[in-house]
Amino acid sequence: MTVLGKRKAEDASPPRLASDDQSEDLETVVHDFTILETNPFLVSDSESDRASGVADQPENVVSTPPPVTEHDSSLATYVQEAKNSILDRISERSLPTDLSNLSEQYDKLLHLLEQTVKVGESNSCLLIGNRGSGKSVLVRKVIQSLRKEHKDNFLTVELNGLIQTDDRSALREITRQLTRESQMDDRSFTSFAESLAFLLSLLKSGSKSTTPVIFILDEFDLFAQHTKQALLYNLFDIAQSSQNPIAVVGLTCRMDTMELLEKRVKSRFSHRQIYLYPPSTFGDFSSATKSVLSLPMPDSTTDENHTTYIHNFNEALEALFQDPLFLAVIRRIFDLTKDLRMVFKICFQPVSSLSAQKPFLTATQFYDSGIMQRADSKTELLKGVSLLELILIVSMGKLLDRETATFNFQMVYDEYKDFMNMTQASGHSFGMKLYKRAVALKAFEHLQSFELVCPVESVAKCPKEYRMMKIMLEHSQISNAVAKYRDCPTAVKKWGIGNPL
Amino acid sequence: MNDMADSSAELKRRFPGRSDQIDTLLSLMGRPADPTVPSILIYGHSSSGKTSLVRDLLSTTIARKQWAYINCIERHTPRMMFEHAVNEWCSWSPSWENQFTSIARIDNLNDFLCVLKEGVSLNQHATEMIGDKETRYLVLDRAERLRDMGTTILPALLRLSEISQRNICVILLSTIVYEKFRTKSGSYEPLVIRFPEYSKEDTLQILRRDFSEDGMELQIEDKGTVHLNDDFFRSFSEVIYSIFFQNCKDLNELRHLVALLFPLFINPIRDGRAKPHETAKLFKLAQPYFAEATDKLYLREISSSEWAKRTSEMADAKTTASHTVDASVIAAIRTNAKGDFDLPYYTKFLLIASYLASYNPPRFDVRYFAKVADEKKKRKRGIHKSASDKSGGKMRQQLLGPKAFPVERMLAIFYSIIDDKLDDAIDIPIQITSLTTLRLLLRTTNMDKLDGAKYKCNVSFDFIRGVARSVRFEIDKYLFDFI
Repeated sequence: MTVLGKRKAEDASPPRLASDDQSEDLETVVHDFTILETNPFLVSDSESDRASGVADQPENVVSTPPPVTEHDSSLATYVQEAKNSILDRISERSLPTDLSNLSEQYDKLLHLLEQTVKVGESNSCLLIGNRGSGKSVLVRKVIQSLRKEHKDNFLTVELNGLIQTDDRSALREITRQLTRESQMDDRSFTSFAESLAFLLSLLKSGSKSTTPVIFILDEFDLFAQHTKQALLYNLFDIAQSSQNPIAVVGLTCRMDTMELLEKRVKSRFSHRQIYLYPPSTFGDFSSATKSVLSLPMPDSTTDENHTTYIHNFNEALEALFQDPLFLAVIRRIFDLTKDLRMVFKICFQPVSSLSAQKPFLTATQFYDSGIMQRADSKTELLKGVSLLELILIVSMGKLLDRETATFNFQMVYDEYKDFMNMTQASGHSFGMKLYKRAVALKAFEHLQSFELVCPVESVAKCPKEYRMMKIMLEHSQISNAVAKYRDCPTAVKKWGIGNPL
Repeated sequence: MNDMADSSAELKRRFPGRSDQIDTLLSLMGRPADPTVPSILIYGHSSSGKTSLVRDLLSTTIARKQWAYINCIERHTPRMMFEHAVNEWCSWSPSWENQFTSIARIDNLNDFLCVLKEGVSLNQHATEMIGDKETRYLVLDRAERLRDMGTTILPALLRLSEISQRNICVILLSTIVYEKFRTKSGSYEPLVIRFPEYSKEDTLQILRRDFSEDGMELQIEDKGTVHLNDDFFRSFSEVIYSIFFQNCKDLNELRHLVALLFPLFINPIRDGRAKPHETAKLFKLAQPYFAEATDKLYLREISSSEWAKRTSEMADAKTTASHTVDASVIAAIRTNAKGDFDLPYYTKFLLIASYLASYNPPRFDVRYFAKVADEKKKRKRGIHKSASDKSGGKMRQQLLGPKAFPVERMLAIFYSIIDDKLDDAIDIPIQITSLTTLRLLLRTTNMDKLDGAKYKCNVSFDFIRGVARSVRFEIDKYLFDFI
């Protein structure tokens, strides 16, 4: 995993990325993604041609930026570089520069791990926080700064509960990572007991002066669900009682992880928990967003045109953050979930569509992207069903109103028949006809394939027309769907939205 | 380069109504070396072009090695899925030379990640690193099946690029909305793109694709050829759309119907009964077929090959008896009814008895099936007529389905509805067993319980009506609360 196409000089690349580069040890510690050729001066000709070719969107330029440069191609490369650096940050490949709302937790964790690395103290701790509150980022940053200081004096082993689903594979992974890092011979083990014994001997032998190992356990709660929690027990046991300095850092999003641990495991754990919270005020939230989207300040060696572009971009970004439309989008996410990841998700499309014609971000892009991501997918799906299926759904809604939560196809068809009789009697049935039972059954099964209608029991005990189902929509969604349906006959609309005919 | 603009224009031409989605996807992909969004979920109706569009887009814009396409129904275990993905990324296919093995042995997610982190060794000298330079795409079709593969597969795949620290983008295609994919403890949420349904214009445009652009030459009986052009086909497809769109908007179904009905539609032209521009007359002549199509073809009661065979037989027949041929074909198609059962006489009565036992409440048995003497007794007792014959309630048995009944009750009803006394030679239990094997009756109690067995009737009302008609039994008189 070497960084290919190494930058010759750190000149053109922003100082933030330089810190990523300095770490020579690139094995597992710094998640140093091969951030590719963003140095415009090293970009080959074909790539820059392609860059200008990608910028082919023929949309009208919303705001004419101040003339940055004469050359279209160099503007395109600047835009490309900006795009890449922002995309790196939104897709969480590179570390954010400031973790302002997590500074206290950062200090705690850094102090803890420093003790392990410097002094040889064994420690264990648990990082608990919501999804997207920055646990992995925090750990990576701490490791990064430790690497800067102590270089190769410690080893890290990273495990993930999603991947290593049982103790055996976890052990294999630990052995793999340790032996690769410290260039030991590759031994293959056949049984769990053997590998465990080897590993324990490896880890237990040694004194305060052996290389400290930091274990990072992602999705810690999943490890607690392995049989007998053998891995956790052993790790905490080593941390507690043996001389070899190890640190165990668990990351989890479950607040009740401590309850999941067995008594013997819990007693060996140091009960040190660090809680992470998302930004508490809207100001913090929006400044975190702004720091992700803004381009880092250029240093003295950047090209003048490039500097101008960066300045203009950041100014446009400032203007964007004053725009009420944009702020409404961000505010909504803050009010609902305070999750920075949701902001990142809606940033992908506007950032990806940056081009030489549209070198700055506009509020409407974010608004459109936000609308798309938070559209109620079930109602959207209902826009595309056929009229018969829509009528069946409305019939199910009517049955629901009548307090029959579960129903079968016969009941729905009965309701449909009643509706058709009613509209035909009152003369409103223009162009609609009563379909046969079998045709309606096919439409019903089509709805089942979307999982909008689910059977109550998983095993069928009677003919399929009689199987009890429940509808996975609620009344407001149904009336919404009827309202948005294209070319809906008025009779159906009235019936569906609840007004009496 | 102009390549990108050209290919995007070409794609937009090939997929009408999808230009927005094409633009979005192309801008998200960016250049090969750009970082991409870790996972995308594309959802939409069936036959809305998700698979075809994504495959075409990827094949025209990037090299074949850069993307792997996996159908999760076909490759339903993690091993099959991951091995195939790595095979496609290394352009390796199992063949005779390599003894049909995959390029790497991958049993589970753990091994897959090892392969991604360390690379695949092609031979002694070369290792292929996946996703370190250019973005690799993993396209998973029918992604809803991933939920059944184990609880950790889906969350891990959604953040594959973060876990493996490689430039990989996972694209999920599904008809089911993302809300149903969520797991209990949450995961990284993918970017959601919706493929909306086609508008009428787009649907007609796609249907027209099946018709060759230069039109068609049709041989009229001893009178030369006539040219059928695009407009003719367009009016035909509009007619088909207007008939079927209310109950079926699915593009594949419409194409199926158009393909099978078009020969019948142009048949009168071939016979010389009508000219190409007389669309109203053609439509009127084809009317009975369209009616049949709604039932038989759409419901697949008759297979498309059989339909094609019958209609081609018709095309070969002479014009003089044309309308009789039409009628006979329709009649033949209609009588190909499903479930033409031929049960023995008394077995039919047994089936009728079981239907009555399933759908009639037991308290009315005496009223329907006992002899007259018992009626008198009831009348004397007076006004205990509880539930009056209400009909049309929502909870009536007709809607709720069959209820289980003990065998003795069915036998009692059976003996009361047959007119004459049975010979002892007929073995009733054997008949019951054969009905169960035919799945016309269902046994609801376990096979272990030898006595006290309960059964349920498994046939529909239309079927039993047919059976009753064949033995001249008026079943409607004996059913309670049926509409």
